[in-house]
Amino acid sequence: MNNFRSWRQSFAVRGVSWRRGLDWAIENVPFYFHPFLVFFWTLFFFVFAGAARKAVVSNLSVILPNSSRAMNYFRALRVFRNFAWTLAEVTIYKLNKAPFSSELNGADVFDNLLAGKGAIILTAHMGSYDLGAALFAEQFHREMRMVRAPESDEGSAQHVDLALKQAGAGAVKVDYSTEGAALSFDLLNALRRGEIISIQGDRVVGDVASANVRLFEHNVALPNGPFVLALVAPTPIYPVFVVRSGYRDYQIIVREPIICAREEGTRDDHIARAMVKWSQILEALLSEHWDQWYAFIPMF
Amino acid sequence: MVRLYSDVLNMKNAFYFALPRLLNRIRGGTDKVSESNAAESYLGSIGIFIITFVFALQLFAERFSGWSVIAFDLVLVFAVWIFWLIVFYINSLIVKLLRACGLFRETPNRRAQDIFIAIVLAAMAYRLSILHGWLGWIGWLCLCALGANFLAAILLKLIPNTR
Repeated sequence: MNNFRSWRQSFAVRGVSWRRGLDWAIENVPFYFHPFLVFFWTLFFFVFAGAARKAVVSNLSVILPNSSRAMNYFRALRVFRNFAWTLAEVTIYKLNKAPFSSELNGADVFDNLLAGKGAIILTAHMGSYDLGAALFAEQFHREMRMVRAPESDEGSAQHVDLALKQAGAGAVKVDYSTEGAALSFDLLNALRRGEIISIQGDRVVGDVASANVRLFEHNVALPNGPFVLALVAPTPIYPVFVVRSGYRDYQIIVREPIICAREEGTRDDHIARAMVKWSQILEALLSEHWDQWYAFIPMF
Repeated sequence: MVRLYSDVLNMKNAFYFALPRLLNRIRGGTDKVSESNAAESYLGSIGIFIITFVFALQLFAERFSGWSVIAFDLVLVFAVWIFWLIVFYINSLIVKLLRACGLFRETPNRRAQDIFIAIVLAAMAYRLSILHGWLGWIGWLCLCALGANFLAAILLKLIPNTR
């Protein structure tokens, strides 16, 4: 009975079956069929992933307050389409080792990131963070630790874990945000050794520590762990976003670092100030690239 | 703005299909195989979808009338997708079988599929080409494109690139 249930769940939106199907398609379907397949998968998920669709529409109504509800459904379709392309292209990179081009927006800041001894890359569920991490490791020959929320489905979690290892060719190590205090100490030691850690800072999943900030004139809970780490280590936080700008073409956007410094006030004040800066950067990026924000839960 | 991977940009000016590769060679460009050309990717998808859709439409459309035609067309759009997924699956099994016989061992699955896709498309295009009117023209256009591409592939093999 349990076997039947887990088999049935594997076909759910969060299940592993479609991920395996995507791998199969990328290995077996010529590239000139990809737009055709992506178009249909977009429609498929738009129809069947009802909760995610509603969440995207709800988030868009806050990001774009002048956009009508009907128009937001079309915009949500665009978000799903971009998500489908992003998933397809990271799989193409992983399995076919196809070349990708990318533009670096903020090269000076990026040089400082590479030259520095330890840094936190704070990013969002935007564009292709998985591909970004893999390109980073390949292009700059630097190892990276990526902290992410685990997939709710066990099969999917294993699949994503393996996919990240394959795409990053061993240079990207994955940690899960649910690992608790042990992970915090581990990450702190890694920062002090000069390693680069990438964390997604736009969504709170599970029992992850968080604090409220203003985002699009709404109170939103964002993870505060990266800021606590930055304060204790101490190390700068670099906001980095990887957005898709065309067919096998990505843009890496790097913003000025956020320094979480011990100045006047309490520890919470230092963290709050840094989080306000992060929310401002995030808001600016989301205003521009709302069609690539894959936070499939209601944020506001 | 700094561009990374400039060699990829060169590959975006290269092609996958033999006919544009041959034309590119004649123009002095590269004839290397590239899967990075967005135009080829989109045109390939649209072209194959149109041929399959029109082929299925002329097979079954006579059985429907009035509003049921619109419903049939909508179902057909998804049926085309399912049809190709099944074709790819069957092709992958054929490729596996051929590999066991020692063929296509060095060719990735996605490229080995080209031959089978061309055969399926040619069969559909031939059926369309013997019809009258615009359906016939679509069939002829597709057959000509497939034929020219096949010829170009032979020329690319026979005439070595001297540059």
